[in-house]
Amino acid sequence: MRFLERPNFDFIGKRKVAYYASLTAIIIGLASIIVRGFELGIDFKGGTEVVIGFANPVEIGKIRATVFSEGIGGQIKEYGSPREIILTTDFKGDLNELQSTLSRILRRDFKDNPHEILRIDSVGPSIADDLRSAAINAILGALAMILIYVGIRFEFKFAAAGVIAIFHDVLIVAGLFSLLGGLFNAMPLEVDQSTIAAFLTIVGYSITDTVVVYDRIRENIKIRRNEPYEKIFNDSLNETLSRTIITSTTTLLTVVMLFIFAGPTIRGFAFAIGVGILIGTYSSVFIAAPLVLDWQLRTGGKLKLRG
Amino acid sequence: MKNNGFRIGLTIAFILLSGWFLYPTVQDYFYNKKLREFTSPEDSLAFVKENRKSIEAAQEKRLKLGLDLQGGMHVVLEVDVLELLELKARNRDMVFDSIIAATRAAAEASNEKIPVLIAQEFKKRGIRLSRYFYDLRDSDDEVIEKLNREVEDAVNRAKEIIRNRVDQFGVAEPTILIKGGRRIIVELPGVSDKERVRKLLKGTAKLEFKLVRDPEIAIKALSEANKYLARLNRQNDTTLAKDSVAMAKADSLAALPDSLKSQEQLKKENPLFAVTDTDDGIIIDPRSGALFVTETAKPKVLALLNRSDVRERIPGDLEFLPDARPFQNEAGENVYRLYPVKREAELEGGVIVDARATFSIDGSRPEVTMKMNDAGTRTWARVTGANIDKQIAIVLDGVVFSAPVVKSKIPNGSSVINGLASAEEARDLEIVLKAGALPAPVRIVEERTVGASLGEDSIRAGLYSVIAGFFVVALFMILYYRAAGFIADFALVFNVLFVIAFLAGFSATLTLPGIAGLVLTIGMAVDANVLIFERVREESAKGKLLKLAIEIGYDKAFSAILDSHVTTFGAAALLYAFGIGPIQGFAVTLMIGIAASLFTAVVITKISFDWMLERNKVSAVSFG
Repeated sequence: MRFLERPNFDFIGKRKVAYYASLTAIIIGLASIIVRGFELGIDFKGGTEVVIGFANPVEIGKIRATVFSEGIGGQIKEYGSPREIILTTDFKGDLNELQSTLSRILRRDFKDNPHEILRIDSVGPSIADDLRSAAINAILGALAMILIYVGIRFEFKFAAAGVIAIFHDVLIVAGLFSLLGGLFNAMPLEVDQSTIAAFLTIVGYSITDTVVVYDRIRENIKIRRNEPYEKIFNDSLNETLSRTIITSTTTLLTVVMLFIFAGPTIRGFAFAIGVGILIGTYSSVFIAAPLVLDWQLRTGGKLKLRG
Repeated sequence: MKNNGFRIGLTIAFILLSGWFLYPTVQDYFYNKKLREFTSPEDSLAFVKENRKSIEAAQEKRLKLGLDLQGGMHVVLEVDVLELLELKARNRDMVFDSIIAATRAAAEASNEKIPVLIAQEFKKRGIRLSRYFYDLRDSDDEVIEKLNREVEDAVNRAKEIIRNRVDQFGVAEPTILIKGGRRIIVELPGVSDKERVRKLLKGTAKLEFKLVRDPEIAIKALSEANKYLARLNRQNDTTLAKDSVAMAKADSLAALPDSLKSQEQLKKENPLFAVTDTDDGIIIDPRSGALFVTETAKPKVLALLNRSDVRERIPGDLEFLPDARPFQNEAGENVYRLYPVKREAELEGGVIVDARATFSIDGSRPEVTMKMNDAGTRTWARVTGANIDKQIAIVLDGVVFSAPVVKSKIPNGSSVINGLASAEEARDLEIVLKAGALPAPVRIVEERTVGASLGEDSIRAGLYSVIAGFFVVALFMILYYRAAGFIADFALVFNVLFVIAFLAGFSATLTLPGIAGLVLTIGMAVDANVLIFERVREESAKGKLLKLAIEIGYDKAFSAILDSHVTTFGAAALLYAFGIGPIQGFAVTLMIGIAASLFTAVVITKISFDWMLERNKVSAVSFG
């Protein structure tokens, strides 16, 4: 089977359109991040999450009434199925107290629907601070490392454009998280540690995709010394296009399986990676390579490539 | 077929290594299965006895499941270093208290070591550290260094004590480590009784024997404090009113006899005492002079008594401690007794050498009996001898468990804690007393607890996603690349096998995010094959012979494969370095998966193609 036998799209010619589209998406995302911010998970803002499972489906409204009447503040939502709820609270006191209060009032008000506390996560403010700085360090570290490695293996312009493409991907996904955060019950799209893991996976995936395209450009530049860079770049993109699409497809297939089967904790993570793969694929074709070309055309001269 | 001998050797070596890594896991699985099949406990016990060594070895080396998959608790404790340093200070005063408070606020926002933060606060106020710590001649740097050592020492001791407690509580395979200077991470797989564990970890277990003071002294001191607080109230009222009429009115009201005052006024003048039964102050039993507080009043009263300005009005050697357990009054409210005790303990828990949970002589009430060392025994004998017919409070972590009246001198160094709610509590008390007191209080700053049933659900969910992920990718590859796709799938099987085996071999832990990493690896691992196969297709399209096309395909695709693997691996490594717990699990599987795919997708597929070509099955080698 084959898709796209000998493709010959004019990617490079359309790059301006792509730049504007990407810029628009990034600006909308950034605006949302500035105005709406993120739905932060307890990892980064501190607080306590309790997941409670019931034997039979429950009415969220009733649970809310019971829990709030006892002076426990916070949010109560359905969690994955109508038999499970998640309580997010900034309860500061003793966890033992919270747990026994919850058990007591739920036993009292839902006598014929026994419950079980499935999971309790509690993160203090000092830990949340640490996790936040670790997350930022991890992403910055990854970008620096990529800049250095790609710089050594190719050339600085390639490395810088690759990192810009990564920024592009992560910013768009982050913008999407900000825009859609808290809108879906089945998938809260909160920013927590697993979101950071997803972002770093996107970083890794995006550069992988980009490097494959770069590799072909490097090869073609060596062979076809006298052709204009525009043509070499565009041909390289077309030559790698089927690989780019197939790898995205296989990875997306597994991400979809994760989304369907791996349960509510993994869902937001799978969503982030799925979107990241789509955008990462787009950016390695329409952003990373064209940026190198534009940069090169501006500075003139020949590209000196290592590797 | 150049250097294929080496490739085949390497492959076989890896497969053998994987088998070696996975064998204990398989063994462990079958042992567990067999143990479940036994119907009588005697049979299973006999089986365990017979195979103890190999069962334990298998358990130790098997692939470990993370807390999110098998249920359990992940707790991060923070040692309250400030409290420790407060105790180390020579003469605590208002200035010192304010510095401590400022440092506490600074510590919330900073990861700097506590002694350094304290030093900064001292510097701001232009005071030398040696005014409060160690020798007066010490320079600030020397004091900081000594304090740092003190803190490090305390955290290490705290870790050991917590390890003792956990071991005695009976948790299989706990993990206890120090992180970031003042935090202790405790991982307890399979623990279900969260409330007990929290208590067990958090309790300082500071045991003290304190003399109970006479009620007259206590009431006199409380009256003084009460008068002072009333005066403060009055001052507040008048500063609020700010006119002479109101002030005169307040003064005249204060002069009235109590019987003529309204409830409200009485309360205002008695901030510390209860005016009615339902009130939120201290209740004094008129006959015995015993003091009580209701559950609702307790926090307020204790906070008032702890205020440094109030403390100054109470004699220095007197403090008030509540009962560990309340009783119910007629109205059904929980009431605690408040004991006036001598601040300085007669004896501390360090002298305890053994503790045992038992039942009282009539067998109804759980209690803990303790034995003391020689020095403790001597002191205890002297203290009990000198205080016959007086009460001695047994205080644990600032609450009074019991306050028996001394009937006679106790020469043998034994003592008893009673007033316990359950045999379980007695057992936990035994554990903490044996393990010793923590050098400083600890707080739970992070906790992640997963119930066992959720863990099982997660395992199932993880398994389904691995299987589903594998099949969609495998199917896609076969549909798209035909025979070559089949070979890629063959390599993919080894990839999954290697990832799981190496996880077990590196004694890493499999978590749900780890499984997600494995699923993702399946999707990305075929990338190397896609790169190669696309290249082969290109080359054959140019009219090259299949054999040559394959050689060129592998050759030319390699640099792209290497670069892309290195970058993804780097991102995963950083994730491992900065992440914690489950996220690290994800990073580890991703790293192993990437490394494994470099091998399986390049080497194993190459061997397969070469083998097919060697056998002249060229027609069977199809790239779709």
